Parts: sequence; C-alpha cells; structure tokens
Amino acid sequence: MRFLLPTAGEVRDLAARETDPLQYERFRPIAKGPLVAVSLLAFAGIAATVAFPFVLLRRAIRRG
Amino acid sequence: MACDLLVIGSGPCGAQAAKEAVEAGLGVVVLDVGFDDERLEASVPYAPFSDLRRTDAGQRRYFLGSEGDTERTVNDRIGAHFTPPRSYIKREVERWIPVRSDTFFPELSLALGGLGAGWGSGTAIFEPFELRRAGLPADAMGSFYDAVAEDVGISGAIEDDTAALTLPSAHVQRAAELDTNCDSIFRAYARRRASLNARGFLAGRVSMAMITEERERLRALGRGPNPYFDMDFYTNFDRSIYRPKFTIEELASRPNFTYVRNALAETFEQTPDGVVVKYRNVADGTCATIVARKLLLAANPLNTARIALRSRGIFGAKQPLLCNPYHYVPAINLRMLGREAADRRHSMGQIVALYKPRHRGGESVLGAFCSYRSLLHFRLVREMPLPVSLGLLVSRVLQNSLTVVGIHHPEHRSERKWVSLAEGGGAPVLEAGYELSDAERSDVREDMRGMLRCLRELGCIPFSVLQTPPGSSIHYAGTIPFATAAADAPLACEPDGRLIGSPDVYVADSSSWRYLPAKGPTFTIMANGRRVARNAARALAAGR
Repeated sequence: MRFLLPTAGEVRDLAARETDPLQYERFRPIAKGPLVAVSLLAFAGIAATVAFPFVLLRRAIRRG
Repeated sequence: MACDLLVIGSGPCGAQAAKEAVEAGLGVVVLDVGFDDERLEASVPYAPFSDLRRTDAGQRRYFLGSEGDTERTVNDRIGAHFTPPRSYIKREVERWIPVRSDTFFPELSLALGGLGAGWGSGTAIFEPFELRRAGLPADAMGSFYDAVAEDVGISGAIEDDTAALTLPSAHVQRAAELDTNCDSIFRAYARRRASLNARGFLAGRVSMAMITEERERLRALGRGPNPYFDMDFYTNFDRSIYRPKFTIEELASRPNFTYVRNALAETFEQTPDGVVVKYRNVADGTCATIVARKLLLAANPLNTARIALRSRGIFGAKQPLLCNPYHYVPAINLRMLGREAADRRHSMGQIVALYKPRHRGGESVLGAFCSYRSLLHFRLVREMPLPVSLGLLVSRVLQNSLTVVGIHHPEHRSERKWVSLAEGGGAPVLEAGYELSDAERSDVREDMRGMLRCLRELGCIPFSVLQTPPGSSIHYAGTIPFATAAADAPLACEPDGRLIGSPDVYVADSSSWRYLPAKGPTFTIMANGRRVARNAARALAAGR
C-alpha cells in the first residue's frame, strides 16, 4: 500500500506550504455545514477515482 | 564524591524520589545524562496556534525544525509527538542504550526528565486491586499519590463517571476545559449514558498534571494555568504541564542536593559500607565512580534492568517484561462534520473512557480521546492514498470532527515477554522479545470490538484501527519484579524495593511491578518513587 501514498517530496512540499503564513487560508478547516462537507467528500472521492491513475503513474516515475 | 542516597535517572520517578529524600534531610545526588535543549521551545512566540499560523514568518523553525529535522518531521508517523522542539528527548539513545529486538520497539530517553519530558501528563490512579496485583501496598499508596499531586499540580473531575481514575484530594484543581469537538462527544455521552454504562463504558474529563488554577506556591516556581493556546506539543507556556526537570531545577537550590549531568550509570558494586557506582561521562568518554550509602535505580525498567543485570554479571538469563498493548483509532465525530471549532483549546487528551468488558473480569481498558489540530495537515495527507491536493481537501473538511482515540489494554506477564543482557564486543547489549499469546490476542480483539461499538454509539465513526508495534505504548514495567515464593526471575526485589542480594540497592521505578493495568503508569511511578525513597531514608535513619 505504501506505493499509493504521497512521495516524501510531495509531503515535504506540502509541509513547507502549510507553514507559510501567506498561504494560511488554504489550510484552514472547511466548516460550512454538514451538507457542504459531505458534498466535498463525495467530490474528492469521484475526483480521486478519475485522477488517481495519472497520479500513481507520476509517483511511480518519481520513485524510479 | 560520596552521598547518602544516589538516584540514577531524572525522570518522573527519579525526580520525585530525589525530592522525597532531600526533604527527609539526606544528602542526595542524581546521576543523569540529562540532554536538554530549551532554545527552540523558548523561541516560540507567546501566542495561540492560530495566530502563529497566520502571522509568524518563523513558524517553520518550531513546526518542522531545522533543515535536517524537516526530513525526520515529515517522515515521522502520526501520533509521534516528539515534535522538533522535543527531538532532544530521543537524542543519542541508539548510541548509548540500544535495545536489540525484532519484536519489541521501545522508546527510551537520555533527556533531563527522561520520557517525562514528553509525557502526555495523564494522572490516572490505580484501583486497590490493581495496586495489589502489581505488588504495591494499596493501603499505603494514597499518601504518596497525594504528595505527588501537591508537588506537580494536577487537575481533574471527581464528579465525572470516571472518578475512579482521579485522585480524591484537595490538591486536585478543576478539570481542564474541553475543546469544541470533545465537548460534543461528552454531551453525546451524557445523552446515551445509561446504554453505554450498561455495556461497561464510562467517560469523564481527563485527570492531568496540568495546572488550571493559580497557586501561589506553583507561581513562585514560574508555573501558572494553561492559557489554552493549543501549542502544548511544541512548547510549555507558563510551564502549566509538569515536567520532572522542574523538580530537578527546584532541588538545585538546596544545599543537600547535587545533580551530575552527562553521567551514564553503567554498574554498581555492593560493598560492606554501601554501594560504589561506576559511570561514564558521555561528553568525554571518561569513567568515574561515586560512593553512596544507598542507591535508587530509577532509570526506566529497561535501563534499570540493564544496569542491574550487568552489575550482577547475569548474561543470557531472561527477566520478565510488561508493556501495554496499544491501538489508536482515528474516527469522525459526525456531530462536528462541517462545523466550526473554537481556537481556544489545549492539545492534550480531553476525555478518558474507562471500559470494563465482561471478558476481562473487572479489569479496565482505557481510551483517551484527542482532537487533531496542531500537528498540521501534512501528517494526515501523508497517510492518504490520494493526490495531495485532494488529500488536503479531505483533511480540511474532516479536521474539526477528527478524533483520535488511543486505547491501552491491560498487560500480564508471560514467558514470551522478556529482556536479557547479551555479552558483546564492547558494552553488553540489552535484548528483548515480545509476543502475545493466542488468549491475549483474543482478549485484545474483544476489547476492540466492544470499544468500537461504544464509539459508534457516541457518533464517532472509526475509519481505521491502527495497531502499533509492541513497545510503542511507552508504558514499561516488570523487569525486576517483586519476589514471590515461585522465585520466577533471576533478579527480584523485596516489597520495600530492595534488590535481593544487594541490600543497599533499591528498585524505585515500575521495574518491580508484576502487573500493568491499562492506565497510564506515570503518576503511580512517581508515587512509588517517593515510597521507595522513604523506605531508603528510614533504613538509613535506623542505621541499616
């Protein structure tokens, strides 16, 4: 399962962006009610299904 | 150098034992490696987590660490709370006190305050039957618990259903405020209380070594109430959470106390007049000795066993080992999904669940509820098999409702859990083995089944159950147990803590316990440290 997870480089980049105060708003919790939350989770699920083969391929290439 | 009482280790046990002995008027020396690094912790601006995240351009320094630390920080597993300001806690452990094992992976420390420097601060007390099963005197422990509570400052709620975990004492301050997420879980518990109680599930606010009220005595030591800034994994604002090094610092001003830093105790030798302890200076590699009338071993059960076995020349023989099996369960609190949460909170455990399943026959399983916030999103996204941008979206949606429940199970002795000292080319190496029996695995599975059912009834939907490797609960005991008629370990100690065969050496930490309940042991370790120190002081006063 490890090969499905983000690469160390992706995590490092995310951690760097998360600790940049100029990007604070992009990392705030989304709290716009349960309906919005469920909709966003459903969207993320569908988007992941479509996008993941490409992401997986890119991760495989990056990991060599 | 010579002294009345030599204490090895500055952790929760060593610090409290030293304080008891200093107050009894003994000349006390604490021998300790004592790595410390307050620079990073002290550099964190005094402000709430959300303000720092929004405004501090230097936040990367303490959230991720320096260039070298960043790699480790982003690779650490979730639940690892050794954040960059606390990374010194694990410094040079592999070099000086390695443990060789394929089945047991303990956390050890050479820091000032030992593992207590990163302690979650839970102060659950053991019930009388648990104390007796461990071999501790149930009727005598109350006064030692009380002395520790007065010294370290604890908070809790004796009116909650989990009152059995909280010391009934005038020294206990009001319970810490719950954060928005755990407050909603606690309200759900109140509504479903009858049904959950019928299953053996009780919940209450956590009893902790965290100050929630002003106290003159504690303020004089630079300590005040927690400001609810949610920065407790990175720093200790107002010193609200007790750390053993506060006690060492306090004792340093007493004329009858000496702290010897950089000193790794290696062996002791019993002589007609007391004990000679040999130690290595980890800064320059030189060796030296100290003579003491009495010696207290308080170095953590693994290191205490290492020192005692080496001193007595016992190689290859197995000593028992206790360590609570531990799971953690990330769950979504449905009542908080998509809801706002207040910034004002502390970062430690919020609610404790005391679960007494029927198959355990009166024993408890313990769950600690935490909300997930100040450990940042990237640690969660790292665990999601999703593109990073979608992982971040999911993490942001779930964050205010994300609840992590750490679950500890009771631990019993068995031949499959052991430590042993092996002769090596250089210094002897401690080896360990740990395996649960089929019956123990079955009990743990049953615990989890029942606990997960109760979580679902609370509206917390678990989405994973993570079983951590043996040793990661950081609750260790039993390596030099109280002796019984069965004489079932090469090294054992008397009920007063004296090591059999070495009359001036006392085992003060949890090495002596024959049983480890699911409750965090640190408060009881501190109380027992005081008890054993008092026994040593009495023996000295009686000229023994």
